[in-house]
Amino acid sequence: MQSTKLRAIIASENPVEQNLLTEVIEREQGVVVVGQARNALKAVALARHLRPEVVLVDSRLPNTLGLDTVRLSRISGFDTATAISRELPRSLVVLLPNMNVLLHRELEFDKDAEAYLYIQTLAANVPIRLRELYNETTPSSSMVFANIEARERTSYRSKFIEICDKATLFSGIASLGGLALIVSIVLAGAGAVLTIGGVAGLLFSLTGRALATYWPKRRRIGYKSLVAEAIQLKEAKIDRKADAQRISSL
Amino acid sequence: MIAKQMLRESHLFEQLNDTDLDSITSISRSREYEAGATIFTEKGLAEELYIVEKGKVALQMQLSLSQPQLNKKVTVDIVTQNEVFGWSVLVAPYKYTLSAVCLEHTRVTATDGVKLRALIQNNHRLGYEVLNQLIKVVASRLDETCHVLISERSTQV
Repeated sequence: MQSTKLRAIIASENPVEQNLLTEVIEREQGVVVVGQARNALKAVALARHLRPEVVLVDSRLPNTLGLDTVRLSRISGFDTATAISRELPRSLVVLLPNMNVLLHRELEFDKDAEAYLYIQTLAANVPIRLRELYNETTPSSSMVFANIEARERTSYRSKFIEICDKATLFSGIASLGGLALIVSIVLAGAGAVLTIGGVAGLLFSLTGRALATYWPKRRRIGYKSLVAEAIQLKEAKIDRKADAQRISSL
Repeated sequence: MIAKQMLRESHLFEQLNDTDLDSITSISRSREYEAGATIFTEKGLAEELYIVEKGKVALQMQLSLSQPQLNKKVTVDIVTQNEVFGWSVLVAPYKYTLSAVCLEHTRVTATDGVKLRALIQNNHRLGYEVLNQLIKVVASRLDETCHVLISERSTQV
């Protein structure tokens, strides 16, 4: 599908506008202009004969003559686009309401500018690619309203600026990420020290408490028992002494 | 809020003074349409008068032929900035004579028809100025439509 070229015809009274449109269309890869018509009758006849995939129609298109003095003789572009759209429902018909020679003059003056096609929505201007639009075309949506405007040509300079902008963005994100990592490492170090200290303190306090609870108890009991034992011994001694004295007195 | 200056720049209201323009402003509002949108259809009830602030609007007439399958719409005029359309709102039987389709993203000032008629009835001077300009709009459209039909439409697309 992609390898097949899209054939386009242009309907515009002005040769300058025809050339401008040809340049714009053929800039897109895979699109080729196969015919040009200067009025509505020729445009319809050409569309019937060639059955192109894409038809671009300037809204200010004369029906046949294109009399300069008759303003209305230049307005049948909309009717032409509608007629072609009805006859060739599989073709993409693009109606251009704002074609003008001034744009071409502007482009000649500013070599860094190029014309491009876009669809104007309430939210934004959306640049169009004919291939994408054609692939989405259905018989009910085969006619689209597009505009043409000048924009800065894509040059090495603008590409370099674009790359620099992207590099700035990614560098900024990387810097912030790195900073966050450093902060987390520092916090993790502090956390490790606190943990070790806490565990050590816990061990020390528990051990100390256990020792403190165990040792004094044993010593106290020992002392008491020794004292009691000594008292008993002493009493026994006294008893023995008393017995001995009693015996000796007998 | 509609800018008074915008109304003054339109041919229809250019002769009005500040007080009259304030009256028109109070019954008008701004509207936006995407390309391809239909603002009103032929033979529909005329409820609003429009002035183009920005964009392009095609005025189309339904062409009824002997064979229904050949019926089609024909563009008879394209209105651009500061131009007026929907004048049927001021002329009985208050039904649009054409359809209006936006050719590009368009912003219009829509003036309420019933209130505008009431304003004209209550203020005859304002009514005279507005209708005097409106006749010029209608005459111009008729003249150009005749030209195009005679000069070019003899051969059908």
